[in-house]
Amino acid sequence: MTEPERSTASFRDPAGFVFERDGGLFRQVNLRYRPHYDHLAESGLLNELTNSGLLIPTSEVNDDAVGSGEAYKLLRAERVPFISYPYEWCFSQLKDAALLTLDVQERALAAGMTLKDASAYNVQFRGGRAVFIDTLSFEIYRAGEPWVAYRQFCQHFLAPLAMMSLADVRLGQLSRANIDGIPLDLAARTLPWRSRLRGGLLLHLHLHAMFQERHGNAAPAAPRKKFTLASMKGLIDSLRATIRKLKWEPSDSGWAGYVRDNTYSDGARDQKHRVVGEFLARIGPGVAWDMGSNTGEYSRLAAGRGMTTIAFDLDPACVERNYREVIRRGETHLLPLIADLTNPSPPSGWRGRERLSMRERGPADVVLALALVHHLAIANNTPLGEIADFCHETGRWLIIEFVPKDDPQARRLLQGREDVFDAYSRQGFEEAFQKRFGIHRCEPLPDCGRVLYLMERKDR
Amino acid sequence: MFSTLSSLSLGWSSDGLTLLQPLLAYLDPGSGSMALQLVIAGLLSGAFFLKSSWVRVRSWFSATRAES
Repeated sequence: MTEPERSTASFRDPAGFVFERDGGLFRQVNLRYRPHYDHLAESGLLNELTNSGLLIPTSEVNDDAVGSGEAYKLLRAERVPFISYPYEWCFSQLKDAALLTLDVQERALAAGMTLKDASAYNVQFRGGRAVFIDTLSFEIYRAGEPWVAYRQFCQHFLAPLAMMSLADVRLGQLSRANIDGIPLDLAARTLPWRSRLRGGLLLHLHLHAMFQERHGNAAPAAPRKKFTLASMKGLIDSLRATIRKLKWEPSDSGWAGYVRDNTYSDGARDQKHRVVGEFLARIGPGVAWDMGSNTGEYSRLAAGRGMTTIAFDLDPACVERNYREVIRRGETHLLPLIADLTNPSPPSGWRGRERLSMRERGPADVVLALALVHHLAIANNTPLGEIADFCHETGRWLIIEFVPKDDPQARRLLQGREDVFDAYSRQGFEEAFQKRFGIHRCEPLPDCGRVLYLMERKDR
Repeated sequence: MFSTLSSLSLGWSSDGLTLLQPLLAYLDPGSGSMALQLVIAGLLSGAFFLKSSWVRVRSWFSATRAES
């Protein structure tokens, strides 16, 4: 039996771990988890959750050659197309992940089980929808006990959602620094006073923070009262009602920006759609990363061709609108995510290996960089060679749009500042990119001076 | 803080080999979080009972109305 190499994010739970072998994704179930796994399978909960699309499908495999000495079962797990993290989700994605977790807990209780953790990292997006991915999160429910995952649920879901909804949506980025969720005292201090007027937030966040502060690390006294199943159901129901009442509507700033950015004539816009479609057709199937995707207008050209498409944008409002559209249309190949390309998700967590950087989750087969170069080159002072290097390490194929300096959008970026961008020209752009890419096609768009390129990475 | 959970429960079943591991809950549940739940237990179950009863009454009325 060979000892498998564990996933760098799978070491906390002694119930088992995840590893990869020969391109497959496996989960070892340890002997100590046996009664819980057996109950999960025999109660029908595993099938129910999987069949209803709430839990990622797994299948038992017989392979004595793999696994450690603690192995009870070996499961082959379906792989999600792209691993994403809570700090990359928009408000509705985090809210859907929270409601999914509560749905799973409710069904688990009905089957005599409970979730022993409620981490937001146990949720991923597959086929456009949130899905629970940790098969070993369930344990047999023991009457009289409170929910052990209550603290984690409130830190991972309730606190960031409340802050995004009632203070500022950008506070969702705090999850990037606080890998085990937002400390409740921090959330309580950040939230406006009016949040105390909401019963759910008063109870699960403000009072919860006070209890945490009061009890600190004190050894717990033996409980004198029981937490009945009715209390547990009441807790889940109360958390669900609290989460459901949290709303966030994207302001017009992001949307208006989107409309403003589209300074094309109808002819140029149609031409851009046609040319990008042709370029994608030439590339064939694969994974597309649309960098600076806005609300996903061009991401949908790739997703519509069956490509797994990740639509990154800096603006939480754009990502929110894009995600709502994914849900409304029932799209299965498009995943909108928040990403600041000038400061992308870093590796984080234990030894910097628990959560992967954006780069580690690549490369893509094709990168779309439409109406992006001027933002990176002018607004972020990034030399064209650096942008070409970034594109080179991000994907094999590149569909990129050059926006000239006299374009209204580029002129807007130059307003009120000195033009120090002597190298920013179509010639400078082509020279910088030709060092890293071969240019297959080059299509000027009518009426605007912009040019679309199809490039393929040169191996160095 | 593992002791928090194990002190709250003696999770050994009577079935000799299928013992529940008392420390299976590997997370620190947080003493404050556990204490709060115990304090609000009555409130939660009471609210849940009232809500469920209301839903039952409402569905009974709507079923009766549909029949008539």
